[in-house]
Amino acid sequence: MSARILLVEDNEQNRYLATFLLESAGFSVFHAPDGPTAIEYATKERPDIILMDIQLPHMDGYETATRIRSTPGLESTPLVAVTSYAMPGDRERAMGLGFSGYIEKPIDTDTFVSSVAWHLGGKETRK
Amino acid sequence: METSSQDDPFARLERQNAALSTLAQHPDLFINGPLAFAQRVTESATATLGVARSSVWFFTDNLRAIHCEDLFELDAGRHSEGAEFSSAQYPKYFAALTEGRSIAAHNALIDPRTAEFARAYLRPVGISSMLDAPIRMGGRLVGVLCNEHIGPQREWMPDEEAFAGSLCDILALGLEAWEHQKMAAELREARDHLELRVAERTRELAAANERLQELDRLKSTFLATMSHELRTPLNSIIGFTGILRKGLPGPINAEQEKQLSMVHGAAKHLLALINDLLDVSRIESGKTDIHCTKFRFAEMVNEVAAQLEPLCGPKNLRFRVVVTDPAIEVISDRKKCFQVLLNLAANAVKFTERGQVAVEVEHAGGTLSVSVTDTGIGIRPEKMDRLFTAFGQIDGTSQRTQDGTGLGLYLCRQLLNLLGGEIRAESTFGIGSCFTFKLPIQHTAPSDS
Repeated sequence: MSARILLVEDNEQNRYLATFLLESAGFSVFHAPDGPTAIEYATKERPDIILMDIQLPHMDGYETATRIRSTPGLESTPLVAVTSYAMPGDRERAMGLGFSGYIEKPIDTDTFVSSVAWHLGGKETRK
Repeated sequence: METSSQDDPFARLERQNAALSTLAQHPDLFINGPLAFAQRVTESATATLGVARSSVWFFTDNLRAIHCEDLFELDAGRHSEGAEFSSAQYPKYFAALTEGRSIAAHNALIDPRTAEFARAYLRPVGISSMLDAPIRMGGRLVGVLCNEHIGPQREWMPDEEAFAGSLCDILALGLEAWEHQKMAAELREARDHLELRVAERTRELAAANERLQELDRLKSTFLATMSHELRTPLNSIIGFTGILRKGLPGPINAEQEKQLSMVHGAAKHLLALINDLLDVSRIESGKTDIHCTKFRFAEMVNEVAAQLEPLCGPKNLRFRVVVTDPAIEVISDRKKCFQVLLNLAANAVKFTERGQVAVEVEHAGGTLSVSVTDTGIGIRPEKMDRLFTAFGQIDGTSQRTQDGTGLGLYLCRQLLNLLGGEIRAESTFGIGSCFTFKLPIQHTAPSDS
């Protein structure tokens, strides 16, 4: 069974791009458009990894990350920020709030999939 | 002749001392000013000397006239002022006055010093004797205290002369004290005013400072927002051209690949521009942190070479690395050193079509010297002085012929400044360029605690 990825992204093009790359590499991807939905799906579906934007409607990625981390069963799920925040301190803030990885947008199509695979670590199971 | 010696001379002296003591402690001077004090002096003089009239006069017009500040008439209990006598009218009296001694005129009507007043003044008022004492301030003659006796003429006792002199001294001291107090008050006022102005300026500066900080916050917010907003569409452009070029959605032909690579390159350029602008903004606002570690410089140079070698292949360029002491370790910000060297070496590769690019590292004393030499197109002499400025490639007259953000060399210099280093360039147009930067082997910036 392929690794299941929860992609939390409100921008349609960004969602399409990441999904296309990940599915081309054999991953299974499902989506949440905002923080509350992400928490709900993550709790129910237990994905192998969560890729999440930081600027999200309703609840930002920082807040969502904090809540995901305090949800039983999701304490150690790989949680990677995929974000356009590139100012000094952005990465440190995210890592301090429970993210386990940080990928800056625009994503590099040559390295994106391998980065995600690296964050999946031992859990990686590809087709 | 009448004298005041009918009374006990000791009692008289006692009265005089009591009067002087009262005046010396009189609060009027500092409460109501010099005129009130002069009035207390004339009142005291009439009462103590037992004369009908006492008056205080001050010189005006360069000692050529006297002006009456206060005249007290004992019987009427009335103060008045304003009379004036000039030296032209009463030359003998003025001559005697300016000698500076007391005028004790027992018979004022015939005394040569006072007889001038007889017709106009003494007889009409009935004055028989006068005791006039000079008022001096700081040794300078400033006025006169006049005591006038009405009735049978009177002999002035030496103690009475002395008492009149003491009254003058007290008056003079009082006036001086008043002047001092006034000056002190003016000084206080000036100081208070100054303090107010300083406080006002301080408030203005604080407000200006706050506005500047607000502008700085706005600038930072603007940059962060722009950076974020520009990255979002770039993610699509770079991402989808990347996917298409990989052939993931299906095969593309050579022409399509060529055109897609142009889109991809342009988007990457735009991204580099955004990143460089953020770097410049960070450096200029002093928000760049230096993270020093100990590292082998040669290893970092090799990483730069590895990153650039793929670009040298197609042009058949030789990329040469010469490090005199490969084991040399430096303590500096590795990432920033990498950024500087990559920038310089990438420039060299970009501007060189054939020949070689050489990175040479040597060290002397505590300084590392790194040079990047190429056999490229070189730099026109007139452009040398703009080389390290922001957007130095654009000079307004000629068209840009090369890609690049125009911020690379500017950033290099700014970064080296932060690292305690410096950079210079030499070039012969058409032959090649050499960029050399010097770097302390151990970075010791005050900002890096």
